[in-house]
Amino acid sequence: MAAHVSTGNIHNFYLAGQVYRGQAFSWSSASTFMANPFKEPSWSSGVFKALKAERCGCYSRGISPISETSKPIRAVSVSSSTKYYDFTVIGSGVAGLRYALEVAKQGTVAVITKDEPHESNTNYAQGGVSAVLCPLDSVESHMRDTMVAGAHLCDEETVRVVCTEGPERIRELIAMGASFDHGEDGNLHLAREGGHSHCRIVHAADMTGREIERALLEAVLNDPNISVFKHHFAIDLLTSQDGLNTVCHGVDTLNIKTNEVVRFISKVTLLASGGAGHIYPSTTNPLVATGDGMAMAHRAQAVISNMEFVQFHPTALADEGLPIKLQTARENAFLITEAVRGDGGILYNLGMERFMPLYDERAELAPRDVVARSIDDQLKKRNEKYVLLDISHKPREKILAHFPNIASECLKHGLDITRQPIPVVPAAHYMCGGVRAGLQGETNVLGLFVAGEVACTGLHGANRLASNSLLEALVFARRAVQPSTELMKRTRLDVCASEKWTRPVVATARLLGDEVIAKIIALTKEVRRELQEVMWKYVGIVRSTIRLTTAERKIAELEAKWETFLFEHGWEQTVVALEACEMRNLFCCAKLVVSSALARHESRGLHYMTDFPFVEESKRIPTIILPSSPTTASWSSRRLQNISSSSLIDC
Amino acid sequence: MATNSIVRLIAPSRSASSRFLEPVSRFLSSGTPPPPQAPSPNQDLNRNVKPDQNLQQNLQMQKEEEEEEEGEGGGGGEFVNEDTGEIGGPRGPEPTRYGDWEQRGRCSDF
Repeated sequence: MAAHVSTGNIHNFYLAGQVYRGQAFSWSSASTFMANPFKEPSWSSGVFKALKAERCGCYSRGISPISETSKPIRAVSVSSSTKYYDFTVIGSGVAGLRYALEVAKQGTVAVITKDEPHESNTNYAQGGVSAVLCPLDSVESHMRDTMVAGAHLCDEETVRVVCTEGPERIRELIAMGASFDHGEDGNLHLAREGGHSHCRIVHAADMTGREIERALLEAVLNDPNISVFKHHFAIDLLTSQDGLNTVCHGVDTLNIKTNEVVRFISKVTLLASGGAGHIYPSTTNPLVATGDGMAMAHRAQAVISNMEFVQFHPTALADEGLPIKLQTARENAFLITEAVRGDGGILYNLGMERFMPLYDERAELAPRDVVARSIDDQLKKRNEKYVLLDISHKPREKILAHFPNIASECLKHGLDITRQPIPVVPAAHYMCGGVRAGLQGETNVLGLFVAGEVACTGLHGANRLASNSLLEALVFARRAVQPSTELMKRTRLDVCASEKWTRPVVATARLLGDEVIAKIIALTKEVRRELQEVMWKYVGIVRSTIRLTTAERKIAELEAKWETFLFEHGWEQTVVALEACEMRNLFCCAKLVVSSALARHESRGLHYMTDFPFVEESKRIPTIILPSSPTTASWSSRRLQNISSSSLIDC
Repeated sequence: MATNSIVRLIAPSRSASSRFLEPVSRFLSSGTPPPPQAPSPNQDLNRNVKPDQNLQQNLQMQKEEEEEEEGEGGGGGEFVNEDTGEIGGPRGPEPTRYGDWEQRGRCSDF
């Protein structure tokens, strides 16, 4: 199939039925290209048109078309393995919970989360939420700061909406019981973070995310209309084709505790599954962040955007440089503050050469992204694992007074920072890209909405402004409520629909044998490490076409090796296990990042290419990844469930 | 060649940093930190340095002092920052003074 790009607006092209499925890369299941520069893609118009198209509820024979008077479903389980809800929410961070609380006023809600409900990136977001709450501040100022940070790749309409609606979302949070720091005058205390030109960061000491999560979770657990299903890992979305449109009907999950598949059928699904930090070896994200939502959405034919913009922090504590090794690998990185450099800390490579002056006249005080690139460049040139940040030349008392957390953490592992340098390495922190969303959180898949880090709303552009991520989650979770509710009311579900799709089968010892299971788990662990190494080495902070194409090749080989092993040992298309499903999601996300990075022939924001080192005005457009062709896709790129042949039988 | 690739890396940094310069310099204008000294690399770094026993004690003492302070805050004892008037906020220097959000050296947001 020859690649074909329309000169029209990408969404019109998509909706006209000419779904673009390119074969640009021989191994890759995704095709990536830059949206046409001559027509500015409108984030909201095209996608929302798809939503407005009449939704046909006919996915099994004998069902009458949608009725305007559809009532909300009572939460009825036909069998324990299938559950029916008006709304299904995947993810229990700020976006998922905020949405759940609102839509619960209209119908029944299931919140699905793969671990304990509080285990999310939100919980670890300790800084704050940005919003225009000071009378001296302005929406225009917040917008400007956002767009400058985003290297002008942000969608202006999205930025305006978020900056305008932010303050109201904060007030609502307070009304819900979130407790933020205030001043003696009784007003909220607003801090000022890098990149912001006014004080506008609302926070709760240093654990804002945790406080927001706590308040929302409490409200969710007390809401009779919301059922939380913890330890339920989402496997794949359930979709069908309705003419030109893909429609989402719910999601299959794996109950990790009971090792059973549970199918959720719902009228509306919100994907709020967070980030994908674990495609890299060093990340601030908790273990749950394996890009499940981005991968599932891609497999469900949703459009993905801007995956090349991965935010790294330059100086995370490098555990391999510590004298006493950690007994178990640290789950999320310990970030060393910029204040260490601000207070006079110096960066050296392992040859004890001070390298920052080579890259920037401000040396260690250069902007964070410059420092991150410089460190990455040094590590690649010298083929080393970490660099050194030395503050030991400063007075001991000052070091201990300002940085006691670093001092004690290092001391635990045999390092005295008042006498020795600190080993540091960049850590992946936030995905600016994700599932492409319109202004209401809608996607090109009917019935599928997104909010939070999993979404690409156009707010962050090429680089996220500090504290804008919690804000984005709050605003979009709220905006998705109305269209979700309208859609829910127009939709009728058929209880028989649940058997339309083949069911995933849990990988058990009975199915595959104990020895095979053990081998697969061991291999998967090893393959995960290898994938992370490839991503760090070839798809890190400083990129090039050669490195990226090498990454493509290596990832393809690794994936083929892994899948071959599985399928040669009895694994089948519909077999599932937690480790394997996470691995296929990691592969999928890694490939999305590589494809996206290869498609951007310029350097902008977080994406830096040595062979295209400058910003190109003509390339100031989002990167779009369309769904892959099912015939060439690997296991990580196709949905597990096929439409079963018995679906046409009346029941 | 090493020089060429360094030059290529520097050039966009400058254009990127001029974009970054605006917000960063606006933030730094209220109290620019002193330029870093350039000490010669500490030769001791290559030797095996045993962590100081006193260091452990110092850190412990500091922790105890801070806990005492908290108790002194008065009935219900919420910490009030004298400079900013903030109630219940983080102690010590302003967490965002260098752009990121830090507490006792660990960065939690940026």
